[in-house]
Amino acid sequence: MKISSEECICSEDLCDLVSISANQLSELVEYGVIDPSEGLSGEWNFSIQVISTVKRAIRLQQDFDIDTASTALVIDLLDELEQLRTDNKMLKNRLNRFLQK
Amino acid sequence: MEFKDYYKILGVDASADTQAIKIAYRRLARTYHPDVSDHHDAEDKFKEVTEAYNVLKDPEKRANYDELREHGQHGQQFKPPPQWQSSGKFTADDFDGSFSDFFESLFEVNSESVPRSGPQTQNHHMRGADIELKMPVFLEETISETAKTISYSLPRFDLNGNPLENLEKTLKVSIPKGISDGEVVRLKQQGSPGVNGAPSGDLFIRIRLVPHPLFDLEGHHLVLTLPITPWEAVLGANIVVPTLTGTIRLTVPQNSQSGRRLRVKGKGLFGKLAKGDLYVVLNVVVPEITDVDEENRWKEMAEKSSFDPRMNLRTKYEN
Repeated sequence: MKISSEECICSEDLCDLVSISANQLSELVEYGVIDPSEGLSGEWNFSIQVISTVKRAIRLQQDFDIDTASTALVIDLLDELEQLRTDNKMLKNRLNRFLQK
Repeated sequence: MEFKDYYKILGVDASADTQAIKIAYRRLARTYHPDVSDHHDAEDKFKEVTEAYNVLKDPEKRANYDELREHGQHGQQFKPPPQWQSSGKFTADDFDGSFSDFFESLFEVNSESVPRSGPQTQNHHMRGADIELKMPVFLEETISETAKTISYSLPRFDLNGNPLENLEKTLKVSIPKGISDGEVVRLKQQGSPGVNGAPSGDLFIRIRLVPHPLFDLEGHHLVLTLPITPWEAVLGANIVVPTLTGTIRLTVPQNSQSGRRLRVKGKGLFGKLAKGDLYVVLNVVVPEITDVDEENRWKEMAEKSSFDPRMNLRTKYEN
């Protein structure tokens, strides 16, 4: 079975898939939680990479009882934290290679 | 079935008021929410905390539970007393997660209620649940299209929403070349089967690149730390160096310092736009002296050489 990570999904299908309304989706875009793959004008299509971000945003909103603006901030900070952890792990790894004989 | 002490789980006194229970829940949710916590058992803890909160925040359910609590102790085996009758009903709106056996035995869980991982629509026409898997992929496997076999099990539900035995599934998928860490691919309708003719859910595979024993990653560039001798660093050398697909000969220029980065174009991973490069980082390694002859050679160099790597320190701090 062939698979691709570059697949796109339209707004309607994305809403169906994650069980949210069109309004909720456009709020997530407005606050920068996700971006349509071909810019903000015209009909929105999304990379399937955004699906897990949308699911995460909805879980955070429901479980912490927070609005979309706060959710966007939390997701940004969590992504940054993950990136820093990855970088830190990689740099430690490289440092160890350097210090070992 | 184990008795669950919801007060203990939330860390509150049995006399705590609704406000205290809410605060305890919010703090624990902040600690254990699987999206923000790196606790190894965050998901289980969060479910437990949410379940406890859903019971204790509701005065009727709390009174019901308090009555039962007189008969059980946390972590011990428990059976509700025969004369006991549940008055609390739970629906999908109350709780968006899966319930523990203990919880389900105490409260009537509406069969239309939808666990987060369960079927996604109602009226007995239920689309199957989406499934998420992580797939480890070796760096070598991203160089060309690679076939991999995955096995996974799918939760199933009957017409009334009751769980059935899991369905075991095996799929052969071809991973496109140039896939990168953290990317997600979707296999439509390869998730849990739908109920009553409804479509199956999707399977989402998140790619995890396995750390390589030799190469580190910088985006789609590879980094190789290459040990070299002091004389190779000073005189320059032509060294055989491993790449992901074989070996190449690399020229180390004269007077190379430790830490110098040499770029080998196009020997990295495939990126979205172009192929990455291989960066070779030189690491000058000093030999251990094992015999007198060798020691004498270094001593001779020490006497004859005027090299002073601490020149800057001296001019700054001495006089």
